[in-house]
Amino acid sequence: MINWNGLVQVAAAAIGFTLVIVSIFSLGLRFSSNAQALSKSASKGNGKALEREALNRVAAYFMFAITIAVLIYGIYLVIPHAK
Amino acid sequence: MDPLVIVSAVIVLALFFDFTNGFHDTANAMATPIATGALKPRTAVAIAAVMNLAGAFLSTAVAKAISVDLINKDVPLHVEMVFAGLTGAILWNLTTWIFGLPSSSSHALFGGLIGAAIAYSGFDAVNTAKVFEKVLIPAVFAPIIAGLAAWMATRLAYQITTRNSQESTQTNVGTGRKNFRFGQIFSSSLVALSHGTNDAQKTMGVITLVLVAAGHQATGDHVQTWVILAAAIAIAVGTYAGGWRIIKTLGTGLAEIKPAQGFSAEVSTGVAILASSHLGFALSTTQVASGSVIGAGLGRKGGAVRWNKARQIVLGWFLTLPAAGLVGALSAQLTKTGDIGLIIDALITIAVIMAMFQISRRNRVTSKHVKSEVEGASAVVLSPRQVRTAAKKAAKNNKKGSK
Repeated sequence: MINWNGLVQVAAAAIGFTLVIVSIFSLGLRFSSNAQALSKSASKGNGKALEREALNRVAAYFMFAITIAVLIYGIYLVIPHAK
Repeated sequence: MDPLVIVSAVIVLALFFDFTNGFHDTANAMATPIATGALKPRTAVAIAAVMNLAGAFLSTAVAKAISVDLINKDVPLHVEMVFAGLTGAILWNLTTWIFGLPSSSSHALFGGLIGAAIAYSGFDAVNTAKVFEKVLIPAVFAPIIAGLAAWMATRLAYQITTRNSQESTQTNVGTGRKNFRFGQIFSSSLVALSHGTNDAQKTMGVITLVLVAAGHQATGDHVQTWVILAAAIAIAVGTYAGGWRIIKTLGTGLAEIKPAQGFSAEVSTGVAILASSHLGFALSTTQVASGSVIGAGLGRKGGAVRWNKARQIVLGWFLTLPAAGLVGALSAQLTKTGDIGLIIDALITIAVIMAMFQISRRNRVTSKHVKSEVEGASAVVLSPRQVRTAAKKAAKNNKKGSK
């Protein structure tokens, strides 16, 4: 018998994890370019822009951190554990 | 002949196959980051080797599932049969490498073993249902799954990072897509790691098979530590050695891959292989990587497919299993005749291996043959620029024609 269940599981895991990792990393890049775009008016003393720049920067680093965490979690899943 | 001598010879052959596997597949992990400039070639090769080494220790799910299943349980296992199967796999792997044909190392291994089993015990020896389940079905779906994942991921990556072009010119801030290169450092390491978890396992499976056949190990349900260690080192050394060849030959083939596409392709490849080796569902790394590169190529707006190239690659995939099987079967005919046949088989294999390396060294700089498989796969996709150039050419020709 062909293990269709296994195939579907592999397909779902592969596509799901790929999309999650790539989206989160892309969002990180998006936030960091947002921050860059805001930095000009922020440096001119625009308080609101400064705040938004900081927010975007924090969001960007947060996204990069999640990307790494998801990767590590994926590798952790693969390593066989003593049950 | 002393059985211990044959067992040792088979183990050496299996490790050599592992070496060629690493040698053959470095490009799958490292061609895209080198092409986009994410990693310097030397660094890329070193990372690939270390990650392969680490990956080999991570999981043994595939090692247990493979090889043993493809051959019917009631068929007596001869050590000579495994020997013949391995020579078939090695010879086919090196032949495709010399001619730049895309081929899966896993399929070469399965084909060689199946061919040898048929030569020893007839067609009944092969567990056809298992071959379908473990080899053929994954072969059809692996590139589709990986390609789909990479395609969607590339789309998303472009959409998320797109900036309003008017605003962009005002603030002088671009999309930052170049920075996907930093992500590539991790994603390409992930591919190399997953390659180690998947491909080194196959060698471990074969060595375990031989140890069981020769009575050195009671059952095949665990892998001995020295086997894991030896297989890990063999694939790492092969990866490192193969890397130098790729650095020398990696030309313009992948120049059209952008960092965002490289990142998407690598994440998709790494994740698909890790998922499959976690579930003991063996996918071919070559096929997964090729599917990803094609998917990522099409994910960027305006890409197109060169169908004749794609057909060539698919044909190569279909050919590998029967071709390696044929070589394995011929080699088994020799080893069946006894010790002398075995020695002749070994000598032929060594001679062919040496000749192949000689040819590859002679052609190293000029040859277009010795190419990475991912380069081959990337040639399937026409980038938007290539599509435009082709359109311009066609328009020019049309004008000429109308005059």
